[in-house]
Amino acid sequence: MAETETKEIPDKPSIVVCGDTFNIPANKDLTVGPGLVFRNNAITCTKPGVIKSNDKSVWIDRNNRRYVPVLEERVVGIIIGRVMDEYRIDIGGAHVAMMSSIAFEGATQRNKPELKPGNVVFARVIAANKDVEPELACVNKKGKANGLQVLEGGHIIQCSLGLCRKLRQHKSPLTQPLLNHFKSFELCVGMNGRIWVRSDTNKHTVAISIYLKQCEHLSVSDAVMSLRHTVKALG
Amino acid sequence: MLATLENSIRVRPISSELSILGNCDGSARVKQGNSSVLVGIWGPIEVKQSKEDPEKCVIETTVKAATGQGSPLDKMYEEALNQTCEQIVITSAHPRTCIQVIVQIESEDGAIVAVMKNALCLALMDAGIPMRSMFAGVSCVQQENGELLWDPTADEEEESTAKYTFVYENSKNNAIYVHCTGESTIEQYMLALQKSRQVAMEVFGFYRESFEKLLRKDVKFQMLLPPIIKGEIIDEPE
Repeated sequence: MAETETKEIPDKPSIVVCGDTFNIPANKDLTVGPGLVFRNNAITCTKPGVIKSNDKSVWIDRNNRRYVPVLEERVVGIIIGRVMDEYRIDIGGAHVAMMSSIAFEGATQRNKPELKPGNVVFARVIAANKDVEPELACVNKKGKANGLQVLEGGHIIQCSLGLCRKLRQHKSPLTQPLLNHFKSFELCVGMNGRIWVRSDTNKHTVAISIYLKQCEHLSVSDAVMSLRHTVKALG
Repeated sequence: MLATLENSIRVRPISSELSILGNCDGSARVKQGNSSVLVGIWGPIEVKQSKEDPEKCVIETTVKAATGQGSPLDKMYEEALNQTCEQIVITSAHPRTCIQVIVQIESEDGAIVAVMKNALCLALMDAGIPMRSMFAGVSCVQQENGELLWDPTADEEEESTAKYTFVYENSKNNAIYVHCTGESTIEQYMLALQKSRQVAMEVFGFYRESFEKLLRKDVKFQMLLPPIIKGEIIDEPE
């Protein structure tokens, strides 16, 4: 039974499929990231995608739709219920996430926000073990909110995980056109494929939502053109 | 794909479409000749407590025939697909969850189990479910004159004396699933097993091409990947 040959991790991003194996590089310590496993003294791909590497790590980039909770990621969650002192939150993963009712900045048992099913929160994942439900919190390690909060009003759209990562990039080319077109709006992008949008008028919110959904499949220039059409059409 | 196989092996043209179902986490349609199968996958998703497994993820497969209501044959197909899934999918990565697989046979013209396996593999990869390797289904029949025929049509399957379905995986190129019916000698079986590996390797090459095309179409990756310089440029990045 012939073994498929192992090769070196490519320098430039290239396409790999499941089962492709790579040698462990001798000269540097690499962290093996999502989509790869360390097995039998070699690195094997478990997902198809684009393999990328830098000095410290190697990982596979792929645009998937289903979210798997990862520690310290920021997610947009929707409250679906309450069990004693904890909220049950839907973050789009396999399990329903839990969040303590006092996991907000400055909250105590007597003074805490009362959330109902349907409320939206922007929280960070504080526990993401594969065996148990993930846990969220609306505070960072030092007890400050730092942007994590309950999101009032607005509109949530669902998209793929890859689009969310692109939007969260610093000075992302996808969000620049929005700054040019709209005076004021708020965007909250969760790593779980959910984007929360709010702006002055409903028409603007709709236009932004359509634009973001189209960024999935159109190039930035085409999406901007369609944004102009949408804004004109909505008046 | 046909050029690199031995002269004695003829397979029908294979085509695939990936990510076609908008609601699914992963989907694929594979056509080999007139046999066509569509697979939709959701996962890892929530599972009922009665069905959940604390150590691994549960794979629920449903096969729907092209026409008519369900029959025990569909259950047999479900079992066959489940077996391969359990071996290949890294189920321990997502305990207490479920991966739901829905297989719709769109048209049947021979080699249907092999086509189902191929569509299943592509759909699992499209969904990003962690897999140890890829797998490819190959169907082979023994005709009355003793000759082996690959990727048979329904008529060729009817007239055959023995039918084989093999599934190979690509990390060590081993066979992981074998289903035989009919009468044949051990030598014929070994010959079929050995030559089917070649066909499986071709199918793996086809999977690779399918994903290359899919990833190059994704606008988010277009800037990254170098253009394909082959005889025929399929998609040029802008």
